[in-house]
Amino acid sequence: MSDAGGRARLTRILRSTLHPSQWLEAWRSTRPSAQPKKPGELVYGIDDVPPPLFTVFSGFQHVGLVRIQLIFPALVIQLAELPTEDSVNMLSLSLIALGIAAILQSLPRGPVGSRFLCPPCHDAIFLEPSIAALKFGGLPLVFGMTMVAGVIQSLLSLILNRIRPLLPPEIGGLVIFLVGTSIAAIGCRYMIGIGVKEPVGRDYWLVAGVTLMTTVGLNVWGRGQAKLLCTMVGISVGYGLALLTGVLPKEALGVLSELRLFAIPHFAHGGWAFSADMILPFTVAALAVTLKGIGDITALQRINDGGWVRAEMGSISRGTLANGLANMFAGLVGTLGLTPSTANIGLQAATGVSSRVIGFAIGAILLALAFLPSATGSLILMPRPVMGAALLFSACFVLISGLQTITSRMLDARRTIVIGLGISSGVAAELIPSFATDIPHAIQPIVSSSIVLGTTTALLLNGLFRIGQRQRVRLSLDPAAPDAVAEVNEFFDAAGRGWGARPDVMVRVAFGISQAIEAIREHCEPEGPIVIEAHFDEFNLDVRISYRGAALEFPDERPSGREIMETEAGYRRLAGYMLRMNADRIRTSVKDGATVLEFHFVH
Amino acid sequence: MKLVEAIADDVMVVEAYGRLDSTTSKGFGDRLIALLQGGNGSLVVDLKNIAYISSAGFRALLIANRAAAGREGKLALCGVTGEVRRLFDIGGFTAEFLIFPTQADGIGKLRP
Repeated sequence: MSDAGGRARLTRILRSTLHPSQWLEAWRSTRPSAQPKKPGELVYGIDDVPPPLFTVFSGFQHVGLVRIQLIFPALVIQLAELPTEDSVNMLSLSLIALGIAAILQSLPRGPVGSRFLCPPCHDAIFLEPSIAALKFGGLPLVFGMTMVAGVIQSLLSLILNRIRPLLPPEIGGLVIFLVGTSIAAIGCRYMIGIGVKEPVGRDYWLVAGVTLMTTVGLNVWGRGQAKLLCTMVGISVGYGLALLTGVLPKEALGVLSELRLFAIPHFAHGGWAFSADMILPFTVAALAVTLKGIGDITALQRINDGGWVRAEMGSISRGTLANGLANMFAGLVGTLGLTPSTANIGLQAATGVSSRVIGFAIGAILLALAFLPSATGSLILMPRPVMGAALLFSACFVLISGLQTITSRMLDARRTIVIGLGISSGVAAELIPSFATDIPHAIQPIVSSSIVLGTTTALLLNGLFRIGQRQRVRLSLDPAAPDAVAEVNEFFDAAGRGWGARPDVMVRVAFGISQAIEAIREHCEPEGPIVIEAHFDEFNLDVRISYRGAALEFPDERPSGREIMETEAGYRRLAGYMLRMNADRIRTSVKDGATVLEFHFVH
Repeated sequence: MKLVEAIADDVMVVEAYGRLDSTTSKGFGDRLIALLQGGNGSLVVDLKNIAYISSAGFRALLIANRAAAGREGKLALCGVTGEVRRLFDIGGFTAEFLIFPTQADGIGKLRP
């Protein structure tokens, strides 16, 4: 397995689906349709079934990452000052919600689930709104508003395709990036020992360093099982070293003996409450989770398809619905909201193990752990430096995944400002928390969370900047002008940046139109201007060239080398053949005395 | 468009810069033919700095390739990567030329 190759492949980019309208009948396809193709670097692809023992081990490794994220409900539990038994019970309820969500996402058919190995987790997105709700109305308000967020997300899943222009891929990448910075910030704080009650010293940092280096070392230089299970091995080594050095006192293990080995979680909590004041922050959280989910599921599509070119919206909508239903369930049983776990997707990219079967194993393990309070209790004991190292390791992949998604599109000044200000405001919320205390109470839940603030900023600016942005552009060209082709290149470069188009598609468009203009000038004796019109939406890029002159021919077969070299017809037909092979569809017609060439590019 | 010519291990090497389109290909092709006729009939053409090649560029390369064969020499291409490689592929030209990954590989193959 080439791990570096796998990550490098993730730098190649994405998007969209063929719009099934008149194109299908009127245009002849010149390129084969892409079918999912298992990449060579994947050890176990989506439909592969690994050996049972490997499935269980891999499931535990994923659960290890998911369990780390239980620190988010654990933080809310601490703030709510629940008794120990209730605290452990709430974590058990979290495990049940997580287990159900993992299984929903892996369902191989039906209207719910992304159909990928897409484990859920608690993460920073719901943390700030939940803390605000806790202060405002206690845990019942947290649970009630989590259900509301689930309903909003489920409704969003139904209209995701229509509102996609408002949720462009680069903002999805921004959300992933902000989640990465948030995880990295927590990881760094824990590794250094900031905010830790006990004194921090050499042993603490030793545990943090050894855990991180073990995980990184196995991931970079390890082979076989050691590489695949690097996080779990790193955490285990960290636990052992923490016990040896006293960072995890042996007496602390006594807490485990006080917890029952087996107990059925109870669902009795203080009920649910709702507040209009909390709708805005939880709506933003639902939007942020949806955006992050789009990026996550897109990343899974890329990991699992070597020929991937665009996001498949069916899987994204079903995955969003699964997450929305899981959040409704989480609020119902009494815990915080869930999101797809980007860290677990990073783990799949790092290990090359992406089998859907492991999703069911993860669900079963999480559900089983919900009935084992002593196992859940051990999570509370996980030493902070170990937790920090594991979080920082996974943050590396999350951050890069976010950056890759952002840079997968051409960015003009508008989009650069959207992303730049989104990142800036998110980072500002992280670095200057006092900022939130000086603003009106109603918007504090938005401003105090880096993810919510960064996402809100980007979404509002994106909506604002759509005003006056043209999806249809036009250029009139003098065929005799010596710089006509250069003008075409500049025109499409500017248009591509404005649209936020995929760079690889725009390269094909630029070649096609340049070649067409060359061929028209050389072979068609054009009279008057050549008019180029282009129209873009997220799925299609259509270019129409009209001129008064002879038509071009688009042959099925390339002329022979001899024909190209010796005859004008062969040379002309080569241009037509290359134009045909370059576009997804091509058509020529005559309208009002003008020759019209139409090129369709799937985006 | 710019051409940089050099001799390495008795092999003539031409590095091409810019765009190979209908306005530049005639001069490019004529220069390759002149170099083939003036030397031992073999030539390495490095395309790594070519950003665009149209049907006119391919025609010029085909003619130069035939001229090399006519003198019992060889025309070797290198630096065929990225977008230029894609255009070689969609035009069906990859198999028609002697293509090497690097200039050194091409020189090694054509060295007398």
